[in-house]
Amino acid sequence: MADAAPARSGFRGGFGSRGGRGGRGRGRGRGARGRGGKEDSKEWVPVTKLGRLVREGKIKSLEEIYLYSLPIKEFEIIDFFLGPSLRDEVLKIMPVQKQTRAGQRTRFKAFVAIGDNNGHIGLGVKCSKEVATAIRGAIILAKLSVVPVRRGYWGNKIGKPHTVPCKVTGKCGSVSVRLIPAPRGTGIVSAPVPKKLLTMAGIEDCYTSARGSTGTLGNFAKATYAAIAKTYAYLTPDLWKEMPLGSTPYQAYSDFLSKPTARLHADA
Amino acid sequence: MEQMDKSEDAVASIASSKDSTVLKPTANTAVKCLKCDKVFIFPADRDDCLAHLYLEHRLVIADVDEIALLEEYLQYWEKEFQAHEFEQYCTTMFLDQLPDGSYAKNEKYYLLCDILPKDFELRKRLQEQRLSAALVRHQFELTDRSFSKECLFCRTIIKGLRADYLDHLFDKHFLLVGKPEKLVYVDELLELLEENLNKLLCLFCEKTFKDRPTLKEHMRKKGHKRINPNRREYDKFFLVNYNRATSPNSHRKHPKPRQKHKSIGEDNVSVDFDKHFARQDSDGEHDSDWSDWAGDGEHISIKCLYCAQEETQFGALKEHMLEAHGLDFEAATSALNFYQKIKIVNFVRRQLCLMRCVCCDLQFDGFDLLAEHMALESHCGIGDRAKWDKPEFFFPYMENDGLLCVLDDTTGDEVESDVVRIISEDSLAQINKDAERLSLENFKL
Repeated sequence: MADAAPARSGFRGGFGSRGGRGGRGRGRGRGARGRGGKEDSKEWVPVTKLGRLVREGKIKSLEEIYLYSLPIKEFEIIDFFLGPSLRDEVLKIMPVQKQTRAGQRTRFKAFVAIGDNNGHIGLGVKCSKEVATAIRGAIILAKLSVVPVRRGYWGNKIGKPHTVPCKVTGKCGSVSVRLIPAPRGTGIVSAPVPKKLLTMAGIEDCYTSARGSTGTLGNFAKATYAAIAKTYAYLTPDLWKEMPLGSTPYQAYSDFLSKPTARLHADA
Repeated sequence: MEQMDKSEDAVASIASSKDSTVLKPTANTAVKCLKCDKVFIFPADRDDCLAHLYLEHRLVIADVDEIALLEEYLQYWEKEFQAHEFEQYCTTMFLDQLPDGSYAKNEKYYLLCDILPKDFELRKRLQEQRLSAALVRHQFELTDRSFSKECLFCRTIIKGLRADYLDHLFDKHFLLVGKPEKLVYVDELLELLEENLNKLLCLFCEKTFKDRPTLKEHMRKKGHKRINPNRREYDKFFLVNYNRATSPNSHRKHPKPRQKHKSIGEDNVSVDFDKHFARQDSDGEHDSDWSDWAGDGEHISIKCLYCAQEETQFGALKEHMLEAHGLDFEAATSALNFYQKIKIVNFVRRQLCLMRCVCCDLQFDGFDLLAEHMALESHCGIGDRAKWDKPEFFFPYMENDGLLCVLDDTTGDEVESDVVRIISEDSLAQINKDAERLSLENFKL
């Protein structure tokens, strides 16, 4: 049977105070309200101009932000557009230790990859004293680093794009990863770590060629991410068309600047 | 943090150890006594073992509750003490009493503690081992979707992630166990809770009630829908407890010196630089460093094309193929593009799988015969172009073929137009005036 929360307020059995006392326990769930991550999207109060535009619905898709290379400083923006389809995956949690005079100090480092399996991918890493905090922080950083992924067709334009549009290389540390287009049905031919990232990015078929010390999985993952991000950086012929731009401030004010000012007339 | 009652007195330490817990899942292991042949089954006989060590051999282990994996600790020292005497590793104490408490003069007792570097290293190593085991289990529990359990209160069966089960307990029944990211060994924890509820024990105050409805009413009214924070049996389920490297006593010593520094004021030159300043800076650097994650050291091995030999590096494999099979892979494929190399590898793999020779296509009954034939006739080559240049060899023949992931591609960035034409997807960006205005703000006049 489901127990209903007591409606009594001010009584120590009340819902709010119960949560507060529970939070003071040793490292356990931090109080009833903060739990579960059920933050309503309506509660987001944007602090950047871009955030405000997104909240008001002036921007229709994430691609419009990418077009102008605007820096995204609030992860709620990504959540707003991609929210339900984003899947995060914790790649690794490792303890890192630092020698202090009081002994060893262990913190946890969480590596997280996030993607919607359909054209967006992000990577984040965060270190913290508690595992949960590290994971949460890493997910936020991963969301902030989300980039669009360009895909292409092998041979004929049937169905959905499934492979990378050209050969791209990404490098991090000593590891360099090269992604090469593959025909439909090949699948992802690579080591497990890049395979996970490529799947999350929405690439179905791809060959890879890795050089360097691929044992350093951190650099391996980052190099793959760099390679995937480059797919939109590569200028293919169909992007040669000129996109109309708004006027630069110089142009808009050029009329004003060319006119002699009223003040001068007055002085003369 | 919990305070353990630690006393320096050797006798009292045995009594206090009865309250302690072992921070890992219970599993029965047999441990032999350090000096004689008596065997104890842990974890049940833990206290008996420690009591025996004290009474029979006069050996006491310092901070025994802080040791991460006591069984392994004892097994290590058992091996050491087979060859050496107690005195070599333990500090000797003289006490004026016998083990059973009666008065005697200058009785020798041995204390095994971490002043000894060997012991210190051992304890540290065991701590790290336990932590990584817990993290592995934690990672598994976070992602494993095959969990299914009946709810403790209602009769619904929750399937999926353990986090879903814990969310249900909180949403429907307001029972706050803890956040799923902070818990480990969740299955055991839930079983423990179930047991307590079946025994009609309140989870928080631990009073017994006469039936389930009364118990439920009590827990609801008093707000006892939580775990008792003072019970140490629950320690092993919370990840934060695996972090503790030093005992609670030494934590207590530190706040005092820091307070002294604050009160003295600015003319105190000897402010602890490490604690107050250096720590913050170095953290920032390491925080976003991806190269920390060095992997398990398990390198993906690349299997040779013609035999079962595996290498971790492509260079080593090419050398092997040259020595053992007379094939210079580099030279044979130098004029070919990446896609052709892929096709060759898949073709050779298929041929060998079908027990056919690569060059002359002769079928053999066994792999040894095939290997012999190829060695004799030097047919360890890449075959005719007509044979491997087929579109079916685009697809990897062998699963997880490491060789396909290391082939060099030194041609340019354009896919060779004689292979195929790649069409990029259409870009969907639309012009947005507001975003554009925002972007132009960055251009200052």
